[in-house]
Amino acid sequence: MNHLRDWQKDSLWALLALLLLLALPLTSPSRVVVDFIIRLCAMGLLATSLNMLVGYGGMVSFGHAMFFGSGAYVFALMLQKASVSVPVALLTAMLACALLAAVIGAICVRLKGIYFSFLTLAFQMLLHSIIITWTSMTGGDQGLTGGIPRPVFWGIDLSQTQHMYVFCCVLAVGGLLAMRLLMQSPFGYTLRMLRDNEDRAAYLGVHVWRVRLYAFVLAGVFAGLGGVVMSLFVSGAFPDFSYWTMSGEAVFMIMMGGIHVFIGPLVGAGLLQIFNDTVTRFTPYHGLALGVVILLFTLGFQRGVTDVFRLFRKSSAAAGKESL
Amino acid sequence: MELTALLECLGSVSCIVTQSSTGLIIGALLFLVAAGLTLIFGVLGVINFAHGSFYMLGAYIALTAYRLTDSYALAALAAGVGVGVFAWLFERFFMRRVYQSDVLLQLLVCYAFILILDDVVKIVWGAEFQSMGMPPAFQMPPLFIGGGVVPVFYVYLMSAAGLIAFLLWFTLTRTRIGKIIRAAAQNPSMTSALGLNTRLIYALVFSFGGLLAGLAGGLAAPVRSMSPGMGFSILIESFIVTVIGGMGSVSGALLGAILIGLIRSFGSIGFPLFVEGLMFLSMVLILVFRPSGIMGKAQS
Amino acid sequence: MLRIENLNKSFGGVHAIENLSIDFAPGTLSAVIGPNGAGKTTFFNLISGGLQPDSGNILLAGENMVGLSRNAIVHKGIGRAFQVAKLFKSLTVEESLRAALQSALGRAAQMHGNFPLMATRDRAHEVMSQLGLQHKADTVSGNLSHGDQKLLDMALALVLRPKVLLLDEPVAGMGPDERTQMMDTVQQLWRQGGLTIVLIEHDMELVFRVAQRIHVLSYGKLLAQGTAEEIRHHPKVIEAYLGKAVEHTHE
Repeated sequence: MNHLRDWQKDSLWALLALLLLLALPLTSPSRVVVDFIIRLCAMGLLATSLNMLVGYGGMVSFGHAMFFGSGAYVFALMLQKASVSVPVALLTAMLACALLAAVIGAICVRLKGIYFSFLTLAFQMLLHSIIITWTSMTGGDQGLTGGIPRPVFWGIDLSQTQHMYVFCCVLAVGGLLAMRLLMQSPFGYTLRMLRDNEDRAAYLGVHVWRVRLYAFVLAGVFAGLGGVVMSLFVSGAFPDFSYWTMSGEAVFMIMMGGIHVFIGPLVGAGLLQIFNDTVTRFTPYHGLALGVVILLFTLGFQRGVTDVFRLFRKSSAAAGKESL
Repeated sequence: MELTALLECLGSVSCIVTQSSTGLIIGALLFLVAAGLTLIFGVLGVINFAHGSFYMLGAYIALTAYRLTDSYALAALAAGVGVGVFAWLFERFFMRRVYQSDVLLQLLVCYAFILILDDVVKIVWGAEFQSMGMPPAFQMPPLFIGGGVVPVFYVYLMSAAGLIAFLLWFTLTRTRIGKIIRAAAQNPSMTSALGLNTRLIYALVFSFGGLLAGLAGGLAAPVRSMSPGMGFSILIESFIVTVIGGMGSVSGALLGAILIGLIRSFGSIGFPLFVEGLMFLSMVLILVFRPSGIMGKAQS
Repeated sequence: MLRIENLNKSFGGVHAIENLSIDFAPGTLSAVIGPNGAGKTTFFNLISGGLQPDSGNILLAGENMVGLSRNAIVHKGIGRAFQVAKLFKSLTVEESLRAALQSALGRAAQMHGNFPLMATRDRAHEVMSQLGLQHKADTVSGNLSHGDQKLLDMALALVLRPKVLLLDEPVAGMGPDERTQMMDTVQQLWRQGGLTIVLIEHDMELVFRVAQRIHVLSYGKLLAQGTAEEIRHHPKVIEAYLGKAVEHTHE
């Protein structure tokens, strides 16, 4: 494997993951697995795109869900109202997110630290208010209901579960691979430079604002892709997709999974989903349970699952020790 | 948008009076909450995302206290003190451990508490909307000022808030403890080098901030219904207020609170569905053009 | 090579730099010294673009740098090392240098291909050898010893092939042996040619030993300039330091 370039290795891993995912529903006839994976695809995209900003760029966005929501709404609206094909709707959604991120990013990225965080939160809630108010277009606080048309394209019929599953997996794996390649590219390392020492990067000739903006736009596009998957899953779009709780969950996913490893956020998303699904079965007080778990992680471990694994690997301590 | 309705109101004295009094009430309550938030930020440098939950707790404590004692004054007092104590414990056992950490970790600790407290409230008091109802002492016909309607309770609430604001100002600027607190905000290491117990100061400020929020919750109980999760909207609004007024500035919090209160009350006439949006728009504008807020000092 | 003309900078009412004019000839190794608060670091900040002067000119090979942003000035050829090393703590030594280089190549925002770029390898290795960091290439910057961190800080300034290298207290925080080593490295660099070096230093012994020309600042003004011998016996300079013992170690 060693004579392969990094990006080739990453692509192979992605292919492997995709094959595994496609094989998974064959192990169990129940819809539980399929539903879980599709939701994980959406949230995995959201969490990983947020980590491009937080973990790789040092930009803590509190409002990242605004792109998740935008992606979902634009996609669903294009299908419902403009009767376009799925690929066109998908591209339009991603383009819309890119534009939105470019405009909002141009304003936010100039600020530092907590002011950046607050401004992203403010924009997100502003968007949420617009979604709620513009009832004629968005269905207001009911969301876009009535299902979304799924015209067949390229022989793919998204109203069939299998097709839908494969499509979502391909989108998610493709999106994650793209993000991985971006983070391993020269751009990704310039972003890391900005995270570690923005001042020095400027003294080395880096256009700080510009690079940050690019990262913000890219993160927005991939979050939007996650929104598209979610929209397919719920057959519509809801204001909650752009609410602070969605952003908060995404933050928790990356904290829980680990911000220093690329798949950390995905791991966190998976764990959180497993936790949510399990706990809601036993008690209506899932907030209480989740809150306690978060406290355990933040005060106890103070780092994410994959971060802990990384430390164990480095310090050649007892192998095979569970991190949880 | 109902711009004509708004313009009509602005042309009528009675409407201005009614809406202003509503706005000032919202502002008064917001000020109490935001003052605590901004003090905690100013002195400890942390953002207490759980502050809205403090407000919620205060409301529920007041509810129970009122049901037990039939005294509104005691209920409000219990709310303040109860939440103050809770805040003390929260700071001592949880917040203190993440002062040096990333803001993300602080956010998560508070988020965890929001989740836990929301469910605790659900368990103890139930998930439905509850209300205290207007205490008999205030069940009297409203005042008519300039043709506008001003409930007596509003006047009381505004005076209470005003009194607290004055006491706060006086303590911070004229007393020794106030000077110590301000010194700790400016330069914590120097303050501790001078032999002052910064830990104690932090605990005091945090619990006092909580007390203010809890007090606000209790004071507001007669005119606000309560439900688990009510903390969030007040949290967001008090954020907006602290950002507009300037993080760390109590006078800024007062200005910001009045501004937001008025935007809310007049805004709900002109832009009924978009009132929230208006507030977030104000936050965006301030952050873009004057990030340190109206009264804030520039962050380094 | 670097000519400062009538430079002025005030903060509030305080003149940090007042009517300063200095000429740094190409290929020289000069030192800027002065008591604490004399404005030395402000001076460097002005040259490297961290601050904009109120008035005056900063001419690099005849071209005025005033008004240009930090990153533009870097591309023109001014490199800067810092009193407290500014490093990319999570990147290794080699990664840091190669990341810095890709910026010089204009490929900082390149989104295809893998980091590190082949084009950045040779220069990064060259600089690591020059400064003796080649064996630490894979060490994470945050884990380096203090001395090595200062070396990496210098390497980051060097790697872009500057015409002028500004070194802000290169031996700060080092013990006597490390200091000698560092100064030898600086001299070696200078002897290899092609570089105009200006350093700020408090360690007088080192300064007198190494610098061709010394410029003394006091309260933002140029007090004196000349060779080590001239400065050592300059009455105004001695007075400026107010009879303080010559500092051997820097706290």
